Amino acid sequence: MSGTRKARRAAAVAITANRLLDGAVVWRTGTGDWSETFADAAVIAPDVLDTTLAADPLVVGIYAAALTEHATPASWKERIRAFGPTIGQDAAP
Amino acid sequence: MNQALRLTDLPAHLRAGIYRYDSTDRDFLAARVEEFRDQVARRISGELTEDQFKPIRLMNGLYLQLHAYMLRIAIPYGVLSAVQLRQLAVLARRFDRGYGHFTTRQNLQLNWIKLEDAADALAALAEADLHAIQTSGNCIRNVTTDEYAGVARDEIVDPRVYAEILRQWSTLHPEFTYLPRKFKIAITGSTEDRAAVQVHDIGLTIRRDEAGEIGFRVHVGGGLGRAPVIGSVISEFVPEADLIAYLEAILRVYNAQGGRENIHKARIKFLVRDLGIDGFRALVDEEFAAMQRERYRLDPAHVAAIAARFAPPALETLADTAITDPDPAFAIWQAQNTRPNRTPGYVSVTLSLKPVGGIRGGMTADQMDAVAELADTYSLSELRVTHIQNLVLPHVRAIDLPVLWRALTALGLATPNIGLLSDIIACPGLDYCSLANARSIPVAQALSARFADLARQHDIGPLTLNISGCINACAHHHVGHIGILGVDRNGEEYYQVTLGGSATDDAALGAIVGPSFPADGIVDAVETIVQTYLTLRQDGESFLAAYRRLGLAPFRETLYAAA
Repeated sequence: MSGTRKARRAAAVAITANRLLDGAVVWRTGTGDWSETFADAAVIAPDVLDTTLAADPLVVGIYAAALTEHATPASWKERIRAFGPTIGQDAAP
Repeated sequence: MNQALRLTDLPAHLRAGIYRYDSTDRDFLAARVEEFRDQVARRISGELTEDQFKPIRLMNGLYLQLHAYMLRIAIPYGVLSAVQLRQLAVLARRFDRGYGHFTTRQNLQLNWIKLEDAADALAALAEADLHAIQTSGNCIRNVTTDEYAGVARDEIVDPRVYAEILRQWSTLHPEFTYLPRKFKIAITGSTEDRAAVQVHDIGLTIRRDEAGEIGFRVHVGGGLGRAPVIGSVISEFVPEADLIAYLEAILRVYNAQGGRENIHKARIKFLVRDLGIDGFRALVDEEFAAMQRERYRLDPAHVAAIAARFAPPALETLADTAITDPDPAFAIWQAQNTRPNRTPGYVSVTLSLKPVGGIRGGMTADQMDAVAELADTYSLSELRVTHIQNLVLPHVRAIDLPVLWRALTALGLATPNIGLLSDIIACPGLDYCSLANARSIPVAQALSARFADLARQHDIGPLTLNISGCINACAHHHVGHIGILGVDRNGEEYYQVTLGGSATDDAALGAIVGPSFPADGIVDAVETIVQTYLTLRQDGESFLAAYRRLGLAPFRETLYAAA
């Protein structure tokens, strides 16, 4: 099942992408800007997805990430994207 | 190159065994970097879309992963000079977060690259005769080989010579830049296969015929991923002169007839499976017969010229003598992490990048600098990257071992676990990789902590444990004695276990032991597997031998007894 299809079945979604210049994970805020902080992400209803996924030259690979009913990332993958590697941000050996 | 020297600036005794670029190589790389710099600028300006730019960046080794761009740097056949390792440290500090990860393709990955820095990073690589070309894309990837090439006692012919010939042949080959899918070649020149040739798209084993002439046994259609296959022998002996022509014929048949519609069925193994090895061989033979063979003939003078670039280093005349140290830990390390070279008095030393709780294959820039110093002092400035994610100093005088051991211990690179359970191969997994379904690194860390007792590991004996975070199998989990595959179940991590895999001469694919285990149960599952082996093994019987005698049943019974 694709991410978008999963997102349509989620309790809520957040729009996310990677920033073009450095690849950093970013989240779309309520004002339409991009933030590196997951807490800044606008939580939206899945049924408005079609109007929120327009291309943006500042980012790459826009998609809707599924959230739980508590507005947290629903999958391990999105948790790691939101909060960084579980082995630490500076995961030196 | 900042303060570093080019390889050609070094005296001969400090550039042993390293292929040396000439001005043509360097001019090409410089032009390629500037071309990429322009392409990046056009992408940032919006002139190129991501769809247009993606194949370009991938051809230059630049992936977009979960948190950042990742640069995969080719270490040709795993041979690395001290100068180059220092330059990798420069890149890690200047463009990344001060560390990198060595991979099962004998490459180095930097995980925190910025697009705007990428061309500068490639330029810095080029200063050390390195690049990232063909570390991605549907082309012929970095050729891999035995980490003990050129020094192994069981070596028949030095495989680096042919790996370099294949590198030159395959780099930017105009006919094979857009293959149906990526293509991996491994080559070994020893009696023991340390390059896993049977699980590559093409695996080459160098042999000599009765007249002493060099030729190659060719396996084709091996591979791992979602449909693992042990390769089939397509030819027992391809004469040296015909090596390029024969491989060209294989690639042409694959390029023309390989599937392109379904990415999951596009590797050459599917074509070989569909045609059967005899049917595939017939097409290759037909293509081979139709070729202008003289045009592709490998000229002995060319082979000799390449071989001269791998001239044996100037070694001292020494005798094999027993080396001892008052510290008993030295003997354990010496037995596990060193092996004698064919030159008396010299050994190869494996630096373990697998400390307890550490990230498998990870290395800091400071460690890279320190190891480069040790390579200069003790190993004629040469290193090797292993597909097991460790490093090797290949030219160490045995009499230097005690002092080298102390230096490596201080750097955290002397864990005496080579070939033991904690010498785990692990891919980056879900902590970094956009393809992964589950994390690999934390599982490897937890396993290495659970089995931290080295005396216990030595009692368990030889055991390979490979952990992949998805079915793409970058950690070669199918051929680990114990293989662990991370899977996603409704957003949660689970781990499937296979037993009985092998990547060497007796290559075998592991069998799935049963239902997968949750993340908080996988370490206990491995513990149960090991305990079952220890209970049931016969005198001197390795884990793999015991599995082959016993089969899956006793392991299933103990693993799922409580279910």
